[in-house]
Amino acid sequence: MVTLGHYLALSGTLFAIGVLGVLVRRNAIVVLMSIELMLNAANLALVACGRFRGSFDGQVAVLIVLTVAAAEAAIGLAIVIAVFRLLEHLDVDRTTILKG
Amino acid sequence: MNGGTVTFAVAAILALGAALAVIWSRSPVYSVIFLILNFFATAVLFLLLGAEFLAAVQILVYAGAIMVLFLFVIMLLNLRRVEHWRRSALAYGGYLLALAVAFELVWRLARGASAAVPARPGPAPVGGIQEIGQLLYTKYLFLFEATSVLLFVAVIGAVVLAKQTGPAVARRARGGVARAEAPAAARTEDRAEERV
Repeated sequence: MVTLGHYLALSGTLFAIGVLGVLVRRNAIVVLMSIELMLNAANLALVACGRFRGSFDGQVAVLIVLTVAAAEAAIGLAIVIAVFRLLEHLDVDRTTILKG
Repeated sequence: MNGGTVTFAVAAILALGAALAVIWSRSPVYSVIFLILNFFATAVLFLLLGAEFLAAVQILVYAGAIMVLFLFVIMLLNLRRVEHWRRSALAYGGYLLALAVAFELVWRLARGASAAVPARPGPAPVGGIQEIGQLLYTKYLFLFEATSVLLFVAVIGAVVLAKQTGPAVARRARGGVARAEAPAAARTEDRAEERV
């Protein structure tokens, strides 16, 4: 029998995989995708908890989060394009223009 | 061990495997494909939780629009599989941190939540669209309007950020930031001399 705990454990693990991707990968686009992974994990937790409490508030929150994730992905990719035009690479470790 | 449990297990393993493959792949295109697979697995989990409308929206928006945007950008920038993982001490700190996050979340969230997922609350005609609509346009009306403003700002921001700006961009790319200042100063000096 699948319990709420299973869903939350899965959500937590997916979130941790996203955190790993953000911290360890050097490609800016893969970092953005890891952020999407984390948002997806949060969506799963929201829907599971909403179902557990018998309300649809969780699903409404997921719709809002989805919209925010879409806007953030668009802006993030625009920044990636601008940085790539400037530096010819997407390595976050080598993007040190702002370094004092 | 009924069908629901088997479906959950399959979808969960698929989601986890696809997520690991996203951060493990050498090529960013493979990462996008695996992320799409992860979103499909999450949509199946949404279906199991009775959120049919949300599952459809997830596939339409996330897998169908955002990932296509990622693919467009990867294609336009013509990225190759040239980048490696970090090898520094910071990277191993990252592994440890992710492990700590995973342990903390899984331990705290799953420990006390042993109740089974309850039955669907009330009649749900088309995957909960009616209930979601009633909530979205009454209780969360401000959030709804705020997200529309957010999307508008995002569109403007994306257009402004990705716009070409002319010779200054090419000059910077050739000589870095420091040398970009010198030609600009020389230009203003020339203009000042012309005026005199």
